[in-house]
Amino acid sequence: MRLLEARELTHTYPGAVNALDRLNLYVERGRRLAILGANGSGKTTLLLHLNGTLRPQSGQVLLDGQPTGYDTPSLTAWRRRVGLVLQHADDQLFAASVAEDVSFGPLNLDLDEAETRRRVDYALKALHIQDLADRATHMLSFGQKKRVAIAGLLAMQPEILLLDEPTAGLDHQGTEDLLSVLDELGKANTTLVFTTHDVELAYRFADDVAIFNAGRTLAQGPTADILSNDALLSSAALGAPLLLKIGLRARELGILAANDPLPRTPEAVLSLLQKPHR
Amino acid sequence: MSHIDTAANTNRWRGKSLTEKTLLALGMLAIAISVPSWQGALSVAVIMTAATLLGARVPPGVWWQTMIAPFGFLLVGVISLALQVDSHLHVALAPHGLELAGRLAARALAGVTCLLFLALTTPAAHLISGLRRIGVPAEIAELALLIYRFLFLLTDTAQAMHTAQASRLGHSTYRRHLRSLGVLIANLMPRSLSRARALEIGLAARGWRGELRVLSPVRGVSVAGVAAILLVELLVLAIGLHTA
Repeated sequence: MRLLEARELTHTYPGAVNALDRLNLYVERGRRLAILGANGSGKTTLLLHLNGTLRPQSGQVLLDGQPTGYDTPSLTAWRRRVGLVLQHADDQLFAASVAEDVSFGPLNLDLDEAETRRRVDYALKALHIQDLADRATHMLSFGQKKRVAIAGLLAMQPEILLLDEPTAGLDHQGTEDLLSVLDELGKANTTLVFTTHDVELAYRFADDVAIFNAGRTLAQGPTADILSNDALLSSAALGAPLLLKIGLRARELGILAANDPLPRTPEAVLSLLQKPHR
Repeated sequence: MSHIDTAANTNRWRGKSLTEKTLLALGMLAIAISVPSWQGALSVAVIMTAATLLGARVPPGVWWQTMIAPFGFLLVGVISLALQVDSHLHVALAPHGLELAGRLAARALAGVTCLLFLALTTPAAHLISGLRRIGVPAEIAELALLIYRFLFLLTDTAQAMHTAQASRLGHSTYRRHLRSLGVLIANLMPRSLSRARALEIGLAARGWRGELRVLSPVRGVSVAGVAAILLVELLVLAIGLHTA
């Protein structure tokens, strides 16, 4: 079911090329969508349309199949359901302490104090940062800030969480930790949409991929189908993920049966490698 | 500035209730100002310093670093009180000068230690939520909060820009230093504006409707703590009045 949909969106920044050029995209309930595109391809602009921050110059955004409104009550209802995590956590954190910052969203939903505290606890626990609750926001590390920013939206319990380049700038462990948290959220029925230029990440984590180039969606569909299309990827300045290449080659060589699932993690690929029988 | 903030956020008493800390700091301050004897003031200074260094375990280096500026002012003031210069430019001790200077020094020192205690043990976040609780208008508390938050972002940005300039020899001579500094300051302005705009988007995504409401954690006031503070204050008051 299409929870959120962009139809023929166009957006031009003054004095620049089209950031969005009759763009189409849909978000299905309960599936993880990666919006894959090169730097500067307009991914952030797209996310800003999907939560109503920017208003399309033409085209429309649909929520549950209904065109969205841009008056305050509609925007409030919209953002209650669709949360947006910005790329730079510093653009989102304003309060002096972590727990206070996370409480901001729930209070804006007009929840009472007890429920707000419950939501704050839930969000901090989901991101494994309960121990940071009383810390000053400016004293956190980059990865910790990122988690607090996500917790701030999670506390509002949106149906869809839009994340702009969630792993950008994170080190290996930070990325792993964040992905396992997002994985838990996905299983808890939050629909995830994230932008990235990292095909490996998209292959590993997304159910569906939309290839984005020059303000348009070139293709959208199940991850393995889209990412095995080399011509499509190179037209968007992207390359095929290594794990997928290995998986497909393993199928070709008969190491992997045709109906076995393709390996999505380095561990799964390694387990394909066996000592030859002599 | 940032060493005060670090101390306030890491000391052993950071989690103690704001009520207890202000009761101690402001109560002692009131005693230091109102009690006439220097012995009273001196005991306030000793107790508050002990509370800061031994109680809250604020590093002595940080305490001294913060103390040195008011201490310098105090020293200059005390010297000008104690000495006098006559028309022949002879320097001599002023009549009652030493006594007066000693009294002033004790009181001022006491006052500074009280405020330093509050500044070095209490995170700004707690102070701001305290402001809200005692009924300071939300606009002022929000402004204080945002200024506090952006102070750190801005100094970080300025520092990074300074490093970038210096690595390209932008600060190698005095002339270049002035020029680079000018460019740096001019660049901070549009950056701050775009930061502010980005924050607006971030907050709007979280349902912001013009009010920055947050829920502050409840820090329980301990009855024993308040009793101990009151007891110490009564004791100091008694010393001060007895020796007057």
